[in-house]
Amino acid sequence: MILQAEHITFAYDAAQNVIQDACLELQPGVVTGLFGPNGSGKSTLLRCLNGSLNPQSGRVFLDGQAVAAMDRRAVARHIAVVPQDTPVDVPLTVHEVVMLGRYAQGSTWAQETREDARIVSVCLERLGIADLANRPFSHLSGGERQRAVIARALAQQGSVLLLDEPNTHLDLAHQLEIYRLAKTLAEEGQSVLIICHDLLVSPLMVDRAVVMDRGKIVAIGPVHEVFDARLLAQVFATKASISWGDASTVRAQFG
Amino acid sequence: MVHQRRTIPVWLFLSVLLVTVAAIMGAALLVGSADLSPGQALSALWRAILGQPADDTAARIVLGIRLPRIMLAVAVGGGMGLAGLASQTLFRNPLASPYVLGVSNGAAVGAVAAMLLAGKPFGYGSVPAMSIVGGCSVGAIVFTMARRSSHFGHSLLLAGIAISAFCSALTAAALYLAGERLQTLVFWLMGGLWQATWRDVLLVAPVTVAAIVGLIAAAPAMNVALVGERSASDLGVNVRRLQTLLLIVVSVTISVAVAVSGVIGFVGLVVPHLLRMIVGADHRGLVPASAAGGALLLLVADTLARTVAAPVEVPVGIVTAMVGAPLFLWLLRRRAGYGGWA
Repeated sequence: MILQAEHITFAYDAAQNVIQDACLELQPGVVTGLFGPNGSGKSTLLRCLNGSLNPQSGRVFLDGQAVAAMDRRAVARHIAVVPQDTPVDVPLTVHEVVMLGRYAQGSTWAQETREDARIVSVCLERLGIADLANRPFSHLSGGERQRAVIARALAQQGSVLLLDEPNTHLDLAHQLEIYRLAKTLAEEGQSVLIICHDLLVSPLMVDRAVVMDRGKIVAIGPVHEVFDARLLAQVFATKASISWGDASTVRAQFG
Repeated sequence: MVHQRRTIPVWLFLSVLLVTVAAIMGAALLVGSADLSPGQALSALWRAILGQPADDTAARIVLGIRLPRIMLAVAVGGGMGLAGLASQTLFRNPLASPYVLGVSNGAAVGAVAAMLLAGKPFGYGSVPAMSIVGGCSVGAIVFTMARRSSHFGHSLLLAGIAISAFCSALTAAALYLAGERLQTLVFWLMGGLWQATWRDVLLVAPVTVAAIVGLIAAAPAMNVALVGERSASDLGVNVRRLQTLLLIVVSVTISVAVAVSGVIGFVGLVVPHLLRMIVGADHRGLVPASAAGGALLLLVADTLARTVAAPVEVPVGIVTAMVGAPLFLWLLRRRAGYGGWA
């Protein structure tokens, strides 16, 4: 499904807009990286995209339907979110936490079906945590917990996946695994958005880059066109010379 | 859901719990302070079941005094278990109880005011009505204040603590001014079911039944709520609607409970926590278990309260804490982990 944000402006209080006139489109098959320095409004934009924050102006459409007009359950059937951080003190096992991803798909009274259980197993498997299924969620390491939450998002079986810095607690090997998983999911037809904090690995692992600075989208396009010396200097306050070989190789020298 | 901790299936545990409640209800009918042998009580009960006229003393004691009291203990205890579970899930905190919201203290203020102003401490009508008004007003005030804030759960907790303290002060002031009625008020505040009538049962039982139905319907959403407001909303739960339902359940069940039995502590805190250790945190099992567990604890406590020192009554709040606390500590010692929940 196509997720489209049109001229989103959002403010927590009247004094300052956190998001200013942002336009964005996420298409099936594409992994989009959302870049920007701390406090540039990336997470807020993500929360506007799934309708958990209501923008002051502008609208978000899911295949032409206004997200603001959908109830939370309908949104969760199509859009899955991996939050930046998740409470640790959850009295559930990993299997149970991932099963929560099935909530939006089930009816209120139903017990989980075999199909739900199968989907949960597949998602645990995909994230490499099948062996942790019966462990208490609160006993996991940061990285294991992060993978369980991603598995929960996959269990929602939506068509749009929004990940807010999914790599925060992961080592490099697992980071690369998440990017590859995102790529595979995109190839399966999902529209994927990843908020990326690091500028060293992630630009090489996403198809498209959206760069935010102080609430505004300042650049959007293929990664090798977006990331150049001027952008790094202006947005990230970093001096560097950048030369792209092709979309997957880059030579950067930081000054 | 697959559960490593669970040693016996939930349905089996629930069945055992329900059979135990029924058995103790039956046993409790046969004991009491009146000079009545279990045989006489049994025959009075048997005659009532057969529909024979029952206006002798034995029948009046068993059917007019013991039975409503037992039914009330079950209804109030079940409601307290559910209210405790609803507040722990609402605050995402295993230490929360209906008292944290200030509802019980609000209901107590209403009841104490009714007793002082009406001059007729135990007349039916004014005390329950004022308790319900007091408790539900506090629930509504706390809710309205929290709703304006972006951090609903925290605001609810803080507003509840503040209003609770305010209500305690009002109650203390009322006690200070009570004069010769001080002892009556203090005894009432300790909580007890000795005033139980069929009218009380008719007031409380429908509320408890409605609370069970409401929370069973909300059980899947309550499970999702365990991962926090934001994630619950992302996973498809209408968080505000769930919080409203839980708050209404807590306010109404606790208000009617205080209205008929005063302030009985500990049941709402300990029962859901204890059962979470046994059946796990899945609300589809935990909701019915908390209702049955609350009923069981209060029924046992009240039966002890009216028999251990007969003909003198021990305030049941003392018994619930004395029975519940050691049991709770024993279970707590055996368990660890689960982020402090169980």
